[in-house]
Amino acid sequence: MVSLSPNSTSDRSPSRVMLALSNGRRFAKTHKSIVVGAIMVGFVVAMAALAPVLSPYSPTRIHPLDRLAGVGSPGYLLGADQQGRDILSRLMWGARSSLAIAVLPLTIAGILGLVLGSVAGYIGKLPETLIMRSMDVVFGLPPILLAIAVAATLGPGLVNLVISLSIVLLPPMTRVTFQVVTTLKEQPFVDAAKVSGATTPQIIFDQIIPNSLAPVIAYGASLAGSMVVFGAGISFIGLGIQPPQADWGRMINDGREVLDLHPHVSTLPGLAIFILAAGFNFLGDGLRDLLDPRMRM
Amino acid sequence: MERLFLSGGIKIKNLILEVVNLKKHFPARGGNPLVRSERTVKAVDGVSFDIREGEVVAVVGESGCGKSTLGRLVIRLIEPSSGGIRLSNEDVTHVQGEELRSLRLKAQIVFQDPFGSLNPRMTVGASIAYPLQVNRLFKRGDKEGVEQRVKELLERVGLNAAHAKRLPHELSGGQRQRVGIARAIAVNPKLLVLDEPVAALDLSAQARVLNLFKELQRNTGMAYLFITHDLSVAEYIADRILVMYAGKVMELGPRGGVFKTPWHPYTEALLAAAILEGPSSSDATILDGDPPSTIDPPPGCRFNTRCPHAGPICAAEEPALVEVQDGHMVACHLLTGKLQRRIPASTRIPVSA
Repeated sequence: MVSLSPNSTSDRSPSRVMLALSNGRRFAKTHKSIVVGAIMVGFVVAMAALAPVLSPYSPTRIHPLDRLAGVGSPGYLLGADQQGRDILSRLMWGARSSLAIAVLPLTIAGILGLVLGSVAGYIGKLPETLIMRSMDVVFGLPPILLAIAVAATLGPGLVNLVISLSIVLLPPMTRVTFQVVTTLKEQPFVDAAKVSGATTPQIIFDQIIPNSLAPVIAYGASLAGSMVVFGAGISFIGLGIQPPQADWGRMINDGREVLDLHPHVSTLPGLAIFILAAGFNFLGDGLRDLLDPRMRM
Repeated sequence: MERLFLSGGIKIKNLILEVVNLKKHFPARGGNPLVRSERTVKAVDGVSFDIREGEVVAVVGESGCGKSTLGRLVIRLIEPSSGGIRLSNEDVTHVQGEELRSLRLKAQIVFQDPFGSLNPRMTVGASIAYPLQVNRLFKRGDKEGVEQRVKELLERVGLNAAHAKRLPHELSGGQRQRVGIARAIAVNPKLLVLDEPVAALDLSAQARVLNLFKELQRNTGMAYLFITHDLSVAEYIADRILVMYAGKVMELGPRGGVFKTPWHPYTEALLAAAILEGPSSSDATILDGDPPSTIDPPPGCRFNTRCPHAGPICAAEEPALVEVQDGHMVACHLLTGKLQRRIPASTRIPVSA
C-alpha cells in the first residue's frame, strides 16, 4: 500500500517525457508554419546575437584592395561591397537593426495599444470616442510621410525610426485590442469580477488585458514581417540607419550603382530581408491560428 | 424614497432583501434609425417580493420572462429603471462607488455558464482569492491567510486544496460550478443569487450541486434567490416560489401552496407541462404559442393571449396581486371576481397524487 505511490510517480516520469516528445511532434505536424517561421526568425536572431563572435571582419572595416570581391572569393564568403567591406559581416551586424525595427515598435505600440484599446473597449462612452477617433486621425497619415516628417524634425537614425514606426503601428494595435475587448467584456467572468467588487482599473488589468494578450500578440507578429520591409525601405531612402552602420536597406542602396555587374552586393541583403520578413509572416500566421479564441478548447 | 418600501423604511430584523415595484426597461433596437423609436423592452415590469434571513425563494418561468434580468438587478449588475431594492434594511437601489462595492460583500451571484464565468487564464485558487483581494479582506502580503481561506472554501464546496493550482479548462462542468460557488461565498454574503446554476450541468452533477446548495444553506444560513426554469429543482430547494411571466409576477407563495394548489392558470399550465405523465393529464392545459413580446406588451394581463380562461376583462385591465391565502399571492382576474373559470376547478392537476 505505502510503496504504491512513490512507485507510480517514478514510473510516470519517463512516460511524461515521451508524452512531451510526442506532443512536440504532433505540434510540429499540425502547426508547420510556426515551426518554419520560428526556424527562419531563429536563424536571423542567432546570426545577430553571434555577430561579434562569428563575423569574420568588422562590418565597417574597409579593404580597398578587395572591393567588389565576388561570392566565394578567398576570405569573403559572400563577397565584398564597393569599399571592400565584408558582406557576410555586414549582414550579420545589420540583422540587429532589422530585428530592432521589427520588434521594438511593435512592443511599444503593442503595450500602449493594449492599454488604450482596453480602456476604450471596456469603458466605452467618452474615452472610446476620444481614443478611437484620434486613432482614426493617425491612421489617416501615410506611414512613409510620417516617417519622413519624424526624420525631418528629429533627425534620421534608429531611435527616431522606432518612434515613427511606433506611431504608425499604434492605431492598428489599439483597434485590434478594442475589438477583442468589446467581445471579452460580455463574458460572464467579467461580470463575476464586477460582482466581486473589483474597480474598473482592476478589471481592465486583471481580467481584460491578460485575456486579450494572446490575440493581440498574434496580430502583432503578423505585422512584424511588413515592419522589416518598411524599416529597410526607410533606411534605403536614407532616413533610417545612418552609414557607416550596417543595415540591410542601406546595403541594398549601396549596391544599387553596381547592380548590373555585381548584383550580389544588393541582392544578398534583399534575400536576408526576405528570409526575416517571410519568417515573421509564417510565425504570425501560425500564432494567429494557434491563439485565435475561436480555435481554443 | 423610503416611502416606496412596504416596510416603510423601518428596520425589520430578519429581512434580507426587499424589492418593490422593480422595473427594467431596455430601449428596443431596430426599426428605422432615422426615426427615433420610443419602443421599450419591458424585461422586468413592476416586480415586488422579499426574502427573509435563511430563506430560499425560487423564481420560475419560461426563458425570456425576465427572471435572469431580475437576478442581475438585485445584485446591481444592471441599473434598475425604477423601483426600489433594499438589502439588509439599506436602500441600495442607486448606490455607487464604495457603497456599491460594500454591497458586494452582502450579496453575491453564481452564474449559469460554468465555462464562461471563470477567467480562463486564472488558476482556480486565484479566481477564488480574487474577491478577497479586491476587497482587502486580508492584509497586503498575507499570502498564507489567503491560501488558507481558499483551501477552506474549496473544501466547503467539495473540492480539495490541490484544485487551487488547476486552470478552469482542466475541470469538469460540475467542478467549475463548485469553483464559482466558492468564489461567491468567499466574502460570506448574506444573499446568494443563483442564476440557473445547474442548468448547464448533466443530471448527476445537477443533483450533487443541488445537494451542495442545500448543505451550504443549512450550514451558513444564507438566503438564496434561486432562478430556474426547472420546476422540480425549484420544488426541491425552495421555501417560496415566485412565478414570472413576461416581466410580471403571476403567483408568489409558499412551495406547498404553489405546487399543490396553484391558483394562476399560468402556474397550472407550467405544472401540467412539467408532469406530463399518465392519461389523466390529457385534459390538462397545455399552452399553445409563445409568450408575448416584451417589446411594448399588450395592456391587461400579460397572459391573456394564451390563457384558457381569458375573457374581455383580461385584455382591458391588469389584475393586481391578491393574497388568497397566508402569504400566497396571485395576479389573476379569476380571483378579483371579474372572470369565471371555463374549465371546472376540479380538473386542476393534483401534483403529489
